[in-house]
Amino acid sequence: MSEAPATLLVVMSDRSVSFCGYDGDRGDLSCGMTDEIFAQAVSFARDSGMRICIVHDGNRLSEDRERLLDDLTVSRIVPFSLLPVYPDALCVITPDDMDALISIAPHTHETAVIKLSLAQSSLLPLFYLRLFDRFKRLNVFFTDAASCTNEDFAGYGQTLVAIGEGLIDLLPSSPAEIDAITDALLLNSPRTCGAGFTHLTVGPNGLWYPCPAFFYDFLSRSSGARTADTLVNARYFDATAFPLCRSCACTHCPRCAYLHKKCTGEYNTPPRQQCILKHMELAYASIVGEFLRNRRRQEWPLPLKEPVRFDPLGVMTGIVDPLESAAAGCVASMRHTFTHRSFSSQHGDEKHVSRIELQEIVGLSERINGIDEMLSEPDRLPCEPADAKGFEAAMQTERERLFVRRRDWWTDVRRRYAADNGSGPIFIDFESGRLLAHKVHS
Amino acid sequence: VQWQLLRHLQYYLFGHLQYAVRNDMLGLLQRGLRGRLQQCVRDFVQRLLRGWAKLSLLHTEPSQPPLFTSRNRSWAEGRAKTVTFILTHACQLRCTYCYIHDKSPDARMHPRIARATIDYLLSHRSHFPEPSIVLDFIGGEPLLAVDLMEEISDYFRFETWRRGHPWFENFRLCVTTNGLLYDSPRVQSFIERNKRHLSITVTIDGVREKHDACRVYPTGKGSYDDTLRVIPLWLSQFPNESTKVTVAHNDLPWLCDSVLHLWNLGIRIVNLNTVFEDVWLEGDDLIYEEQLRRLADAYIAQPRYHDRICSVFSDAIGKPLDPQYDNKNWCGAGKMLAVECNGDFYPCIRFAPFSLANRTYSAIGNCFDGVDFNRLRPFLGLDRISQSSQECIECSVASGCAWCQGHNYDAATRDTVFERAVYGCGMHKARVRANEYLRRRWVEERA
Repeated sequence: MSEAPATLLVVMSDRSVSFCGYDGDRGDLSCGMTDEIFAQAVSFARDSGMRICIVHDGNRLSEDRERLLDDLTVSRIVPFSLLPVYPDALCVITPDDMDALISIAPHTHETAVIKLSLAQSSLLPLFYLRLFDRFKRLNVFFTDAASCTNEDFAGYGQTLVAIGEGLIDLLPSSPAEIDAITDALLLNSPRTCGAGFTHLTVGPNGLWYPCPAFFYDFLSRSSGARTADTLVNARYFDATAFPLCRSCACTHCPRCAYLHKKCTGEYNTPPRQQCILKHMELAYASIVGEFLRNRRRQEWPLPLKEPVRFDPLGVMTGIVDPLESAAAGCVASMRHTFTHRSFSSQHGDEKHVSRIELQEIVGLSERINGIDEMLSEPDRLPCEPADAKGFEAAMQTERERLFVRRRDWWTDVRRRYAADNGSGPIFIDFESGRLLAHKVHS
Repeated sequence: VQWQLLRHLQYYLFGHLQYAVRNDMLGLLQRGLRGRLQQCVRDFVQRLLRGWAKLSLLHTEPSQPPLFTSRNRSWAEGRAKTVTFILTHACQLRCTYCYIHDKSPDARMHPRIARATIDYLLSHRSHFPEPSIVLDFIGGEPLLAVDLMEEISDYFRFETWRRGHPWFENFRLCVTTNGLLYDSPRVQSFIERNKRHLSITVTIDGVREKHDACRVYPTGKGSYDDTLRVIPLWLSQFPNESTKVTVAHNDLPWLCDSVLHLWNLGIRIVNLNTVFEDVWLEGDDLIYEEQLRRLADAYIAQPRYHDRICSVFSDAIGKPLDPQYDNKNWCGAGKMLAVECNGDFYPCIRFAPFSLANRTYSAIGNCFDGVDFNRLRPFLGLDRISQSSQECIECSVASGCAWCQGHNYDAATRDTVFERAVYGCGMHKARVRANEYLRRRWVEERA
């Protein structure tokens, strides 16, 4: 083995949770790892001095298997449902888990991975709002980054604006880092995926892969290696060695070996969509950083790195990708938003409620209004007449629940703003769900 | 005149000062990068001397053979998009060193495929912004499909005219042929119609022994006489064209005689390439060097050869390369586009299925759906360092050492283009030694 990877990822079954830019849970046979393969993998990690990382499906490990891990450094990647069992694990959250997130106690967990498609990126602010004080760090992975379109970029641009605003507003309460913005601003050295040289994967079938994504991809599943020795090689896997990435300012880019291989045919070469997406995030992060620097009137610790071109290869070939133009348009729009906000902030007499908070509150109000509207017309209830009473009762209960949630949110927002600025109340018309006055007079 | 000279000198010095500042010589000195600084100073002095020589301030005999500085420049060098049409897989010959392993006579491009390719190229100007284009016809033997070649060139002209495309006048048709059909009426008619935009290379390997050792018919008979027959006609129509000589293991002993023979035939430019494949045996480098030394002797002894060019001799080879500043990829794969008979696109002909012996490379697109630009990114981003071993990076004679991306891929231990095959290392070093010999002999003769 030419280099020594530090971590061995053990994929427990076909149903193990997917924690990166690939689709998990695609197993047709639902094959699980046998005790024998598990023991061999653990033994290999022990002999090679590697840490071990268990990628769980929905089940916990049996006691026998846990005993095998006793003398090893073990980390875990778990679906959200297993978080109460393994509170220190890296937890994967999907849009399906949205409603259950409220149950997590604040300031209790380390890192969460949010996995969603680009079309669902509008949910990201809500995720952030619900998780910013629950986790220390949030990593976002889009499952369809390689097939994004101009429309996706526009939507994601709006999302980033909302997160940027939220981040600024939540800053006094030490919110969670979110890789799309804080890594782009603060990371000094490039992040790298590490598949094939800092970590290796053993699948439930006993074959070796650079990372779990290659196991989940049916086309590459059968091409797993019989031994780990033939697989490891930083030369082919390390994207930071690739000319495009060697001097790239996008330190927060995950440089996913699987996505690279799938799109470009090489483990170390990023596809144009990833480059443009990550450079767009970098541009947004720079704008947020600039805003913060102006507002705090202090030196930002790192130079801001807004990119000139969104695809570094475009600089070499001279070709402007249509996606690049779309991304540039989104960034220009965000700059406009923040310039306006910066002006308002400097004049000191206006204070916005952050857009994501407003979105949550308004969203709840809309749902409450919807229920009221439905109940006001008993003839048109979407149920059989015989069930009308029961349906109405259920709707009333739901309304109560939403009302309480909205009140809690609102109380929290007011408390934070008051703590931050020593300012008076902000007014929202709960009935219409509109922000009546967003000025706070000191 | 003196004032003018001084003025020129001032401009030159100012230019060189700018060069020094741009290369951050002081900064390099401070950082202690001695090697890089030495190179910078060497470049600086060379530029200065060249500048003075231009001003005739230093009028000296050429310090190196003209062969070293002559270049065979290609048309619109670096500014043209090269599109290679693989017209057919069929060929009359079975050359022993040929990388094409499947010469199926049935594989032939359909005109519909050719037209779709041209339509795609012309309708995506933003993807192909080059000011000019080279349509390169290759096979197999492209002259076996001369009708298709004609159809493609006619369609290209018509479409560029109809669309008002800038390539209408800025195009070149290039054909590389074994010459066996060169004097046929059909081919001559094609040449006559397209002469203004046409460039034809007839490949002849040299003396009969060398040519017939490799370039043979399926029956094993050599093709020397048939190729030699068309050379006078070819040279009369394309007097400045070059020929390509491929050197393999079994024809090394005739190398010198072959180049001299080609020069004597009137072919001014001989591009000589050793094969990239793993064919070299121990001692081949010594034979190669000895042959090149003989060639150098003949070149110096005969002034009539002084206007001839052989690509194996160059002043640019045999120097160390800076990892940061001299880091370009050698091969142009990915910057060109090869179109297979079935309409599939490849980064170069060496990635087409009939060229690869050990691997398969999936197409980067096709003439109907276009190019998948993500698949091109590894090629466009490749540089020397990312595919070379540490030994190659630190090699003291690295410049001029060539590689073929397609063969690298075929010979790699993994499914990657980031691994460089080095079977020709010994031959390159032999070439460097021969170059040094020629340089030394030239200086001695002048003295």
